[in-house]
Amino acid sequence: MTREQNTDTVITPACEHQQAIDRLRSRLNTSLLGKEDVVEMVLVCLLSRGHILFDDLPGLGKTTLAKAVALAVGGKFARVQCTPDLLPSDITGFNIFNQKTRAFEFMHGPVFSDVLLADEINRTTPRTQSALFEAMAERQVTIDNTRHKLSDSFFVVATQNPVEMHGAYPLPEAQLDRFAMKLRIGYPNRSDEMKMLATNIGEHDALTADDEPILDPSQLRQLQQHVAEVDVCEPVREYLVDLAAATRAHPDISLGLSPRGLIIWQRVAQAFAHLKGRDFVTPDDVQEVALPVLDVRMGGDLESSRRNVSEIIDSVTVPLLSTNNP
Amino acid sequence: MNLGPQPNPVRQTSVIFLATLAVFITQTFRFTSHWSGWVVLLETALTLLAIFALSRIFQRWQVKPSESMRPQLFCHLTMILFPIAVQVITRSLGVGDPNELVLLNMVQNVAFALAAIPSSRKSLQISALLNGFLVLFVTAMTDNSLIWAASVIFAAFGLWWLMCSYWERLETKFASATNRTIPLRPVLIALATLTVLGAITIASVGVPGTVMVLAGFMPTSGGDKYPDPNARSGVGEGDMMIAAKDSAFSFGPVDSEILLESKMPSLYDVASDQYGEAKIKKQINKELSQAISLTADRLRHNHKKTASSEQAARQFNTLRRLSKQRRTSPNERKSTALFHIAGNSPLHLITRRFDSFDGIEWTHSGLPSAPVSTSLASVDGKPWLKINRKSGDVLRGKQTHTLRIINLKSKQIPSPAHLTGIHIADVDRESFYATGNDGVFELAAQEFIPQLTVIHLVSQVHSERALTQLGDFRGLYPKTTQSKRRTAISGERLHSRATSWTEHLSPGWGQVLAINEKLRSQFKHDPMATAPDDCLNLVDHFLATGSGPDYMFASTATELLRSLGYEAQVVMGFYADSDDYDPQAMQTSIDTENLHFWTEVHVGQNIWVPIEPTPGFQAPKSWLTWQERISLAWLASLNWIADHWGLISLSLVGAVIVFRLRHVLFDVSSLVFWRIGWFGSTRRRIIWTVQILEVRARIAGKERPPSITLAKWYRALAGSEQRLKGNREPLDQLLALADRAFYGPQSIECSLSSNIQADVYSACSKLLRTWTSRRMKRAICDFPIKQADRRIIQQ
Repeated sequence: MTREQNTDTVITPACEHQQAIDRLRSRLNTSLLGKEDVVEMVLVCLLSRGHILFDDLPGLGKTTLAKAVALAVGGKFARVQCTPDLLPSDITGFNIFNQKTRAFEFMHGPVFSDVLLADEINRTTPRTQSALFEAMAERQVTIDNTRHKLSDSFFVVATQNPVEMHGAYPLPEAQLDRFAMKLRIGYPNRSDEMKMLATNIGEHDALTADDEPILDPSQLRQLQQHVAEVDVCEPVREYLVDLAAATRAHPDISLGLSPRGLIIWQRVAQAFAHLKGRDFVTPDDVQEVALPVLDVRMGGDLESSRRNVSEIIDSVTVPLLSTNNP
Repeated sequence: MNLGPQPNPVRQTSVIFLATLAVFITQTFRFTSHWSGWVVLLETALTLLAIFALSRIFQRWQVKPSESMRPQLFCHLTMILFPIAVQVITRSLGVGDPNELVLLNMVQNVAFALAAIPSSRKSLQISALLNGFLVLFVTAMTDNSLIWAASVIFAAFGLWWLMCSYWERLETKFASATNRTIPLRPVLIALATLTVLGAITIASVGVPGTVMVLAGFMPTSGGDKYPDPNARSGVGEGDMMIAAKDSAFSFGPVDSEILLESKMPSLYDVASDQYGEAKIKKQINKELSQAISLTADRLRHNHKKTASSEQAARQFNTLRRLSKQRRTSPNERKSTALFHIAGNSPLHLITRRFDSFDGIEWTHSGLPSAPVSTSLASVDGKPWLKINRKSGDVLRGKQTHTLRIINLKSKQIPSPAHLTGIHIADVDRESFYATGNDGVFELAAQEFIPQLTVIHLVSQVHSERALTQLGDFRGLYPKTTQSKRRTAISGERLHSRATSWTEHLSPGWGQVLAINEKLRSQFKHDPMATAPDDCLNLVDHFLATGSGPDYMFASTATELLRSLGYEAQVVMGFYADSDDYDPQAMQTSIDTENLHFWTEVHVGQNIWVPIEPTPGFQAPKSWLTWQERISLAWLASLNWIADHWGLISLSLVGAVIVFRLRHVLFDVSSLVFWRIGWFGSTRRRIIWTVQILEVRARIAGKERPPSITLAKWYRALAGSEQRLKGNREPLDQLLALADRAFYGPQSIECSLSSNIQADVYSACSKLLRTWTSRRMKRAICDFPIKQADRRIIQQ
């Protein structure tokens, strides 16, 4: 998805990192061909400091994408393959006694990276899942009463396989609520697959050619701060609240949108507006990010999610006039 | 001196529009009462031309308002003095305008000059205020429908202008500094001076005198103490005192009338005034002629004789000598009202009945009519004379009227037919009332009804249906009385005429109506016609000529009915015309010109039903069932449609055209209104543009569902219609502007450069020109309106 062309009649707020975002977008589109909309949502999530859950089949490029994000933001990448025997300490880290120094040393776990890919998260035990979710929510871990802060740009990309559910531990709604959005990559189309094959001839790793970071973590942090300051006027906030109320009243949704989810929705909409070059959120932004944000919370398959989200959006009137200025 | 912010060009255009409307209204008022319309047009054109020329000069030379505003003040002063200069020229030629119109012109000119050549934003506000005063003043002085219509437009646009001004003020930021724009010292000095002068005046001449002095500040025309040839009508008394039309009577001598011993005309005077003096009959019966005809001069000098010879009022000679133009408009009538009547009109009020006719003169045989029993009753504590009638089914309903006697010298109470009650305040004796031989109620012991007497009357109305069902009611009148009537007409000739008019009709009310309708439709009412001096048979003369005044109609109708065997008589009285009804006073004034003749037919049980044979006068009111009312209303509608078929056809064609072109008309009018009717912030303009777009979509049947955003909806429409698809750019521009206007965090002016602000106007304008409702109607929308939307829409 290309950035919306703004008209000459509107001067958008200056964004000193705009070029960086464009390069980042381009890099990610190169790593994952034909999925510009997924890449856009990943960027939105990254800028809104949210975490992504990929609910998709294996081999579609989830790891590739996560790695590309990590390299692009100049951060450390870690990957955890969730298995049933994975322990919480395998995620968070543990203290180990150093014989030489006669003291305990803390061995950082994978959560102390900038981008963490947690593969097949639904395969590990709830106890291990909760350890990760605690880190996602609070951006810190407490081990032996010692608090360890995580990276400011800590970004989790979790995956789960929707097909093989035998022996899995499905994530409960309360924990799913910690994710900003759920995405599905899907298969590429024919031409993109052809292109993908062509780019893989003669190379072992498609990413080795271009792995210079585009942003450093401090720049990313600034961007995220800038996104957080995108204006959300009162009618749009009312619109969000009305939509949340509609989710809670919907007969097919067992658990409506929580206040945390509502905050996440607003933040994601802010990031989306920022990527469109605006310093304010419109109802269009809210609607565009509605499906991925609500999908992770509603459960069920994609079709039912899509239908429910569509009904929710259709049941709420879009605000038109701003009451900021009479 | 801080002159305040400079006027917004769009705002200035709006005020100029208001000023133009005010000019139109003022000059139309002048035009209708001016001695020469061309002078008005020329003066107005010169004035407007001068103002526009000066404004162009100012714009071209980019004259900036200086500290003293001299150039603008000079222009304003010139415009103020221009009407005075015109008056100097025209009055030197012997013609001119009334003073108040000159003043209006001066105000109009300065208002227009302030709008066209403003020195500051305050100039526009002052101009709007002056224009409002002008329109209010002119509208209050006229009842011209064109002026009223223009005033309504002015009021609507002025109200819109005020609302936009208010919104504009809310949106602009408050000034960081509050510099006073009105100089305080001169204002305080002026106020103090006025207060001191007012105090001195009150101390010298008192409050009433002060009020009178203040009135002198308003120049008026009309000779208060001197004659003014340029005066308009009716203000002040001028050279000549005339009897005021609206007051009941004027006291003291009047210059426009010869001094009379008594101003109250008798019925004879009224008849003479209305139909002319009765001619002296050349044939025998000189006794009768000597008793009747008197010339005008002799009438005045021998007034007492006339007043005492009441015999003269009990007969009516149909040979008259008409001496003046009659039937003037109410404004032109110089005579005062005889009495006023409050209640339904039209109404026939009886004063005299005549039952004997010798061919040229109607008299009353002197035989008393059938007695009517009366009794005095108290209704709500008030004494009423109840008249007991056997009405059966013929007389139905009840109607009330109130007479206010002013100047009628008659003891007969002008009353409608089928009277059932009379009330005069404090008259609680039955003997106070009496009936004449002709059955008309009168005051027993009075020579005439005192002036300013109020008489309340209750009467019934006849039912047409009941009369139709009566069948043949001939011969119901007492035979002893019938034999006394004289008919000078050859019974056979008249009978054959009457028979031919009523062939195929059974005897009864149908024949009566047929005679009546024949006279109304085939004969012409000519109030000025008179019979020749040697006429021996008025009815023959009327039937031969085919036209005549109302007494000829009444005489002919009566004689025709008598020839068929019906009992009929002629009635003299007053006709209260609904056209003379005064809605403000809620009464109808009756004067000499309302004297009228009609016919009554006896239908049994001593019931005389009035009929109106004269065209141009409405038939007496009859009682109708609701079916008859509906039927009458339906017939009246059909008649109205038949009479106005051209206008109706044109209106229908116009309505069809307007309906077919409603999209085009709405698009054009909304664009025009958007251009001229809006001023305010850029943000408001964008919002207004979006609202017009939404209304156009609604008219095109492509109303945006409330849950779908502007961008999604209109881009979907654009995708399906070729012309809209080719005009995506203005849509994208507007959508981007609309997003910022609706959801942006701050005023759009703060975020747009001055060049771009100017481009906003063109972007919005381009969109409105290209995104018409017709094009949107052709577009196919991809969004199916879901059930949820329907629920929202229905809510």
